[in-house]
Amino acid sequence: MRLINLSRGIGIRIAALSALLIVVSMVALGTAVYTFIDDALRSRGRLRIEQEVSRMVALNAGGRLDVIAAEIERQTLSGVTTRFAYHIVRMDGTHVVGDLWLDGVTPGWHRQTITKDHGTGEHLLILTTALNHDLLLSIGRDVHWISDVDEELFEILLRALLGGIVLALVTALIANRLVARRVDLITDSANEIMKGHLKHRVPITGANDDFDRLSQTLNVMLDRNQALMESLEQVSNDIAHDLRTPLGRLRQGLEQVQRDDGASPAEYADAVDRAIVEADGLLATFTALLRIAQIEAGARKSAFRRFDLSEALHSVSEAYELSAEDEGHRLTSQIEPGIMITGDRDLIVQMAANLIENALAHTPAGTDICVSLERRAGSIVAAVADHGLGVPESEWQNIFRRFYRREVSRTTPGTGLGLSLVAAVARLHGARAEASDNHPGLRMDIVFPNTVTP
Amino acid sequence: MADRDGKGLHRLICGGMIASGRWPIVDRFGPMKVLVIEDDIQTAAFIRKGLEEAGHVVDVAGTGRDGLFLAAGELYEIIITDRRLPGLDGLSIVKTIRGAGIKTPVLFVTTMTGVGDRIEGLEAGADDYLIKPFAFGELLARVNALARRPAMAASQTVLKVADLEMDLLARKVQRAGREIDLQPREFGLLEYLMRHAGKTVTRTMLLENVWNFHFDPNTNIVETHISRLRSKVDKGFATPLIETVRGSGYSLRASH
Repeated sequence: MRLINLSRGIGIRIAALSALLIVVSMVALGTAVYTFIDDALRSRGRLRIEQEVSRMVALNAGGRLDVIAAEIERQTLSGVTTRFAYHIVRMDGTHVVGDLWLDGVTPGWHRQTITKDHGTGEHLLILTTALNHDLLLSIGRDVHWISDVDEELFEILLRALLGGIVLALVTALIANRLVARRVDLITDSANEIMKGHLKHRVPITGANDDFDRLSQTLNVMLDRNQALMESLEQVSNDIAHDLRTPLGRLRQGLEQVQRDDGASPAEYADAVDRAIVEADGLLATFTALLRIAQIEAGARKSAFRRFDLSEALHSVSEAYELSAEDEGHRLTSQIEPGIMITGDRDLIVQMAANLIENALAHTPAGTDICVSLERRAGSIVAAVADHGLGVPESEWQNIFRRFYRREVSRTTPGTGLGLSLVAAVARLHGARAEASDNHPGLRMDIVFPNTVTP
Repeated sequence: MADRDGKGLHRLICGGMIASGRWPIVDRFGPMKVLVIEDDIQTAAFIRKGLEEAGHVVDVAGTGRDGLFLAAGELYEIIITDRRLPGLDGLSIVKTIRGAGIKTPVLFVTTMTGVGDRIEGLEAGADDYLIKPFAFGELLARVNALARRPAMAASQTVLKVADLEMDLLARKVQRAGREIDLQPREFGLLEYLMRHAGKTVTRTMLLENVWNFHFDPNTNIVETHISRLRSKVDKGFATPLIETVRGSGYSLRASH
């Protein structure tokens, strides 16, 4: 398992790559150094020979062979070990003077290896020059020390290379371990969460590196998922709880008429009617839930168009005026004309209707309700405000929750989903739904960012 | 509780109709040939039974392909199609028959789960839509409303029903020569009733067509407006024109 991890790990791959780079660059550098030093030594050797040749040619300037020969004799017999080797020969191959024996030489550079009696070799670098039309001068010098230096240099470079490879491999292993450890932390956390420990989070090492940032992002995501799951669980519970009551009533009604042997056709019809009313109520709740779910999924954004928000709010407010009046409410509106937004008109209309219905349902007769729309700095605010009994501040968030009912309004008919839909529609439009104190009463604001209007 | 009464009553009446199985005679404009494209056997049987009881002749197609084949024959006066069908869906059927130049009115039946179904259906060429599940009275009213009416073309500028006269250009209404003063929304409501005179219009049809509301409000908007309209149109006249159709909605009486 570990081995597979090692070979597949991104750490080892990066490390292997960097090791390869180190080796390649060391080889390139070593080659350059080697070539440079070798060249420098060899050209220095050549220079020395050229200088000696020049000196001899200068001695020959007077055409006096005997002077050169004397000088060569002197050098040859001097006993200096690092001396030059000389040879002067005639064009016909007759040896004139010198201790270097060469056959058929031509002017230019030559190399010659001389094996001595006791096994050691001499690598001679030789420059041959014509002294005149008959005489050829060759001067050689042992350059085997250059090869020695080269060999030594090569060995040093090879050692450095081997050291580099070892260092690269060690670095690779350490890097891999470091990366693997961090990845393991995340993997372990994921496994832990999958096992059902939803509250588990990826540990942050405090190194403030890429892994820490990744871990932080993952943790934020996990927090959100957990919150979503909890709200989902809450909603499932609420649905189950809220639907049991009407389903129970439906069943009771049907059972009652079934048990009653003497029920008249009219009584049967009445029981069926009541069952249908209950079923319709249940369907309305499901419809509202589905709608909220669709809106929250953002699926309805495809229906977004530019429309006149002022006109839409005005038409909703006007639609409810008569009904409000019948119930003894006073519904008025203060709508700034010509405010356009991009959105789903049908949903905005339903949102406004829900806010008005909420105000109508939860305020006593005679309460003033005002629908308003205005442009503010950086935002557009649509509001439904009443002068009813109001809602305590601690409940301002809760009233937007699905199925949430305040104690005082338990008996008011409704699905308990109206304001959840309001909040969902607001979110879909990038707006905020906010409850606040209307001194007295409740004020519901839908705050649209003003970016939706030019 | 007051806001709920209207709706509760509406539902109660609706339910009563389904239970008793009697359909209003008002909507009978003679039998029509109706094609129902619906794959759910129970729903198809429910629609067939109701429409046959209302005097119509019904054929049911259980798949989209069969439905398209029958619809293409042009033997029907109304086509009711479900959105979701095996093989070929309702949207494709509507597009295909409209593409072939067949103008038979189509009622598109959708579920709430398909977002944008309503707009898609209407854009494809359907004439009206209905959301499942529905009360049968709703379906029947819409089928009857879709039936071709020779009298009232959309281009008319004056609508006449009994002794009621509406001038669409001058925005004026008279009954038996006496001028009636209406609010804009009341005018729109009466216009819709007059265009569908003699037929039942449901509460939902009024909400959709007069108010452009595509949801079910919990408040008796329609009832209060009808009541206000009645007090203006019918008060002081021997014959009331705006009738409540038990279990379905409202109807404007076409003749005395």
